[in-house]
Amino acid sequence: MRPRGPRARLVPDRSFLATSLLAVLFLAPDALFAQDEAPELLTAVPETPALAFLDATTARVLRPGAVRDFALALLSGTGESGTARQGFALEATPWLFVPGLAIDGRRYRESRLAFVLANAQLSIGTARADGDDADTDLALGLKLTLADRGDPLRSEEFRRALGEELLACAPAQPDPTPSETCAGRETAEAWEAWTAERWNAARLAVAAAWGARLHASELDERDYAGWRSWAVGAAPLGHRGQLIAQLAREERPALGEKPAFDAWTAGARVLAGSPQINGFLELLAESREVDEVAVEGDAEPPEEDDGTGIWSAGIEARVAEGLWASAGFGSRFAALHEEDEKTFVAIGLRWGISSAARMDVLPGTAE
Amino acid sequence: MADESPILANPSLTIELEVVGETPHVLAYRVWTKAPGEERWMVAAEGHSEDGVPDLHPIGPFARGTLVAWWLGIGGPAGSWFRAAVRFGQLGQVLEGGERRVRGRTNTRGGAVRSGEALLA
Repeated sequence: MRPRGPRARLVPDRSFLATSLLAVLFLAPDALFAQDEAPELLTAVPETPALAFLDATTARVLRPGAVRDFALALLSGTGESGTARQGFALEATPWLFVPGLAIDGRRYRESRLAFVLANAQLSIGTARADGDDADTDLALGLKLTLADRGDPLRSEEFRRALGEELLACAPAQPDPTPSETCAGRETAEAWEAWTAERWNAARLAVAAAWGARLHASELDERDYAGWRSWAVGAAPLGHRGQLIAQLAREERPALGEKPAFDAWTAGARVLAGSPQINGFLELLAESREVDEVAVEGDAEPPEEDDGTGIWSAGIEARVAEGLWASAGFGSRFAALHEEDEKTFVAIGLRWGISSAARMDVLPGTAE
Repeated sequence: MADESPILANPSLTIELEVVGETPHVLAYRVWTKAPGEERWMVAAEGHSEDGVPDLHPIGPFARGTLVAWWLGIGGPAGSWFRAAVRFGQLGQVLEGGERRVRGRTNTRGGAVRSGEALLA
């Protein structure tokens, strides 16, 4: 039930930024779209931990809401011969499948346990294993939101106001084909206004995923494939600032041609400003230990990565709906979603264009 | 004509109407009745889950053949699963055919609407 990040309504003065961006497009064409390979700082735990473990994405994630639908979804993940289908993804809220269990608004507001339970998400995913088309990697993930001061449904004030707006949507006479337009509009407007005002609210979420490799995609022929876990918290710094901290751990056994490794990643980001324009400083450190593997002939053994530390700082501004421009410096400068962003170097700064903002609050929980 | 199975009620007793949310969503509701031979629907109860008033309303009594209709507006996270129930009871017991369960997902804007109609028999 996690709120989406605030969507800015105000647009800052764009002329300077637009002119600068256009200028560097001509001045530094060769540097365009140079991307770092360094790890990204997370601003939220993965929405679907099982897919994050597999480093996979899929356009279709099944989200059943009842036991029967859940069972059918699970069945759809296996082929006629009982083997796992590759590219299958399922996400579910487990408490919905517990008979007789109800978490109404009052319990959601007043009980921490009910809140955590209502927002717990289980995910299952499969992907084709590296190096062998017949093998399938399977992962099971769990995401828990432990706290969220920005959740509208935990606010009595928000709930009362939305209740009044929804009641105003009720028709005067019974309508055999009622429209959802009014209820959707009122909910979205109230939700967006609430979350925009609380973009920097305190939040804490954890997630973990475990994996197995299924040989020839057979469920009975599997090797343990390790685990990953994430913890991401955010805290407000006054009314115009936010601190985000991230800790992640990964342990993988040797699998196929890949050596065993384990890694810690820790990072933090400080933001100050508004959802329209802000300054930021971020730090990210990774410590990775890779087991040595036997190497045949004269080939060089794989390098051990002792760890890396990177930092960056800069400013970011919204130039249009869904378009963010940023400028910064540091040992690495990149934005939230590497698939959405392009960066380039000009005038001693690295410039970035992104479809998302660093100011966005942690996305997605309670569903 | 009612499009759902009838609710078996004693026409000499008050009906206890209860609207129950089973998920954290905000619920608003309106319930109407229409007596046999009447053309107009009358509002029997309305409210929402956050108005501080118990969502348990004594309504009626109603003659056999009365139609009852309900509307539920649901608000919450976009694409989230919700569950709720509209219950009709007498003397503290849910009537036969008197529990109407609704479930589904909110739309991409976080809203949903469910409605129904039944005959008191």
